[in-house]
Amino acid sequence: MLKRIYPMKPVISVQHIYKSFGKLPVLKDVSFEVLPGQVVVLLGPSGSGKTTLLRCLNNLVSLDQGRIQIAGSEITPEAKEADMQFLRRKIGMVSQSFNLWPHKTVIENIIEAPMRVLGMNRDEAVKEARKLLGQVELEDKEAEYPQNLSGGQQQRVAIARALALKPEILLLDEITSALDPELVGSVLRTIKLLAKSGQSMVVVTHYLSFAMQIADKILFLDGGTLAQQSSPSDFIYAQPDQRIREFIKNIPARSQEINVYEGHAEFQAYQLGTLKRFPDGSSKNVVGSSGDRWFEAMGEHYEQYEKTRIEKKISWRMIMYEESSLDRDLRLRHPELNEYRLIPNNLENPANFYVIKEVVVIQIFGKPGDEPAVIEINNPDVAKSYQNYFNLLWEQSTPVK
Amino acid sequence: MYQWNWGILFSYLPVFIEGALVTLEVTFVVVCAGTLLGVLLAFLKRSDNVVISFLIKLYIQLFRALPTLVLLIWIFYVTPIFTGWHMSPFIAASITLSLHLAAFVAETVRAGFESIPRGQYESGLALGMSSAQVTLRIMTPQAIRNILPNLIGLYITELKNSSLASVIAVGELLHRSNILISETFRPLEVYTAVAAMYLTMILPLIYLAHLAERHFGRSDAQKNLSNEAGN
Repeated sequence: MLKRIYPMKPVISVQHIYKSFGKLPVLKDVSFEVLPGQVVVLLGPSGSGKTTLLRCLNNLVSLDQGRIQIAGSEITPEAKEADMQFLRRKIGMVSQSFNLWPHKTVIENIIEAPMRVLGMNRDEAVKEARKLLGQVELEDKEAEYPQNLSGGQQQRVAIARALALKPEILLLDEITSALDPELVGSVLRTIKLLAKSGQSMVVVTHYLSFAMQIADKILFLDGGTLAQQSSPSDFIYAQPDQRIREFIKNIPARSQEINVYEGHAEFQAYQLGTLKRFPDGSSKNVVGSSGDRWFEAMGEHYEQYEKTRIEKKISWRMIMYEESSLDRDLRLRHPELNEYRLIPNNLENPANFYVIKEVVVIQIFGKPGDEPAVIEINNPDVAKSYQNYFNLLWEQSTPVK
Repeated sequence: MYQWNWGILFSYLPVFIEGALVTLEVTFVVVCAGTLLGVLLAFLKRSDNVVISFLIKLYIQLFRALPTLVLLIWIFYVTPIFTGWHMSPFIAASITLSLHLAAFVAETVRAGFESIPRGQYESGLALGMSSAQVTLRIMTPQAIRNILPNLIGLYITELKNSSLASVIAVGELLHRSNILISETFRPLEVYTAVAAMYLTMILPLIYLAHLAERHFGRSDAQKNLSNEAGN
């Protein structure tokens, strides 16, 4: 992944904040910083205070104690609602339930704030809004009312609406939770592009794989306290905390990113390549599920995949958690899986396929009940070409409606 | 055998028309005053001042609970004793019905605003809009869709209630008709005509309510749909 060079002054600095609802403490002494261009992902069990923390950042929830320096302004427990208007125009927020205004068309939803808050004139605002609609791939929907759009489209309009004020920081609150699995991909793709463009973001999500792809830093909240701050790769691969390991393991499969591609009916793939057989109408469960050996799963695409692999001189090192008979069969039939070893400490199936710290990991599945196996590529160039390959796959394919 | 004589209705047509005009006049005054007061109460009720919101709650409950006729008689006969102000029957009827309507309008307006998901308001705030801007530009247009059909229903009720004013001798349709009957001894024809006149006045309103419901009902259904998607 590209390394970014950050200027040192944080764009968000949260300092020892506390919040209770009645007698129920929700946030306890939370502190962290976000640097410009950074993407910080908040993870944690339900009720751990993620959403409250996010809403504190633009004072939709007021603080009990502590302070937040954000986008050049300061939020304290004494903050006046009237002073927040100026701050909020620099912080975009998108929530789980879109909250588009049903009496306004798509374009009217987007231009409302630029016109009323920034005092932009209508023509200018419309011009900007059309640009944003292009960015979220909804150019042709500007005259529609929100209720005539799919959930994924509505959510992308909501993102465009938040971007219309050119916010320094974007807050995303479980923006895909209310969407059907097949609509999630388009929204996540939009966010990934934003992350690439250097937009500072704080993201609450349940999508571990998505978090791994965009996060510069993962904050783990538990019972209102910040239990851990770590890099994505450390979070998954060097997780010292047994409870967080349990959490990772128990993330429900339906929260994982799913995309189905036209012409790729036999398997599902997403940017970083979960590979699994996908008979029509079958389960969309990926993480923790069992399936077929991965090349079988790819069906006719395996050939193309192999060709690319050989062209790009990709060599594999395969790491097995635990060797099933199917896995051994696979290893014996494919001598190119040359550096093969068992991982003594089973990490309990954290992921499918990752490019992290220039290591590509492809998880493959044995038959039901078998422990999953993993193929790891340790050469940075090779890993990069793999990533490019999957990016290509990603860009060429269209999600099935 | 009763001998129908519809002819007299035509000879007394001006009486009916004058009566109907007064009925409409009362209704018009009541609709204007009651709506204004009701909207005001709905907003005051959301006030942070506990005393104000309690008093308004009490008012709304009281005026919704008491029979309108009792209210009317009480206001017409009892207030002069306390205040020394002898109001005309027309004023008494207008005040009573306006207060009555206001209580219902206040509840309808409140419900109309409260049925809009909180996220609609917050999304405006989150975009840096002021509370007033959000209320005016985001909440009110949506609330009106919820409120308008119910409001027309309340106006219809108030038009019907205006007949109660005959009890305190307001010269509206029913009152004039009663006088007419005592002069002509033709109750069957006159009351039938009265019923027909009320129907003529109310039918267009019912049609209007129907139109509003159909027009906004659809957008409500759509809104519910998008809310469901959001939950």
